[in-house]
Amino acid sequence: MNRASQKRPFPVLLWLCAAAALTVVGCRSSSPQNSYVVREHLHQVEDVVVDRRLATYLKILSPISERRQGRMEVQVQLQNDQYRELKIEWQVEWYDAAGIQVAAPTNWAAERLGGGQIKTIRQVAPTESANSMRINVRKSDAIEG
Amino acid sequence: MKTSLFAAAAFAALAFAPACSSVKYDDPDRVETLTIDFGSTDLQTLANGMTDSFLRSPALGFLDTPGKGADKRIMMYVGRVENRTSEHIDTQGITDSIRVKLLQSGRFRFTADDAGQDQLADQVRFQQGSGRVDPAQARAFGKQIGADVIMYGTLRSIEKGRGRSIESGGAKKEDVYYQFVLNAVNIETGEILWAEERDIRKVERRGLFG
Repeated sequence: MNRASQKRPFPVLLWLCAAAALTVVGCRSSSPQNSYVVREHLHQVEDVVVDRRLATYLKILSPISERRQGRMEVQVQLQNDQYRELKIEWQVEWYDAAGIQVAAPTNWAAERLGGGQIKTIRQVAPTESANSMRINVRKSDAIEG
Repeated sequence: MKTSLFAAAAFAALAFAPACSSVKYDDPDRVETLTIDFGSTDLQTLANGMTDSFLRSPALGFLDTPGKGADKRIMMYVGRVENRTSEHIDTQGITDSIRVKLLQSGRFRFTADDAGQDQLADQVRFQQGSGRVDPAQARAFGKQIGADVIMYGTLRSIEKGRGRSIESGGAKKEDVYYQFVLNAVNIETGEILWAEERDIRKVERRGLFG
């Protein structure tokens, strides 16, 4: 066997992997999401973490809730706890005392957090019956061009 | 040798490709950045931001006017949002979305917009003039509730771009900034009760090969 034929398997595999990667990249599924619940008068969050990696570098800080003009208002801070920029999306859902969702979840909002950046999110309940807010966050899942 | 490598790669690509081609329903709330033009995410962002601000405003709690009755919630009329951008944008999509959200909140009441007025005028004329409706039940003009507050606004854009150059590595860059301003004005007094501004910036960078 000569030298040229000995080298053959590796380039062929590389070509195959590259082609497969290029085709598969177009059909990835939605990013998993982490959820954080803020209840009225409780200045802490209950978390449901699915994407553990995202949870390690995206922190939910300083939850505050208060009722103003009969509606619950919530403020939370999202902190990118790493040096690199982080592209995420978030949406909120509102629930009443019985745990029933009081309105459709908000649209996903895109957020770009620089290294260490803190973004304050302030939301007001869509109805007076809402007494807890769930904020869902996930890595950017935009329909891109 | 090279021909066989290309053939193998092409075969692999073809083998994987069919699994990816599909038509499916998707989440209408997903962030969309297909192009730099005004899109669904921009509409949703502006509408949500304005709705939140509306609901927070203490100036838009209640308004008492003569003959209003026991329900003192503000009766709102949604006017026009002037499109001062260079794009064709259906700005009524933004105001429709805001109206739906505010109506669902239960805090405001709304009178019908221009399209609704045309529809109900047609219906009243039908009930009054067709002879098909029981006269005792036929609705008449002149009983509509007058709006307390009108909502109107402006959508502007500032666009800038830089063409391909050696300096930019052959890349093309475009930047568009949208400014959306909405006002709520007391129809009787002309006082601006509430105003809010929301901005969106979008940047598109196109590489040398598009």
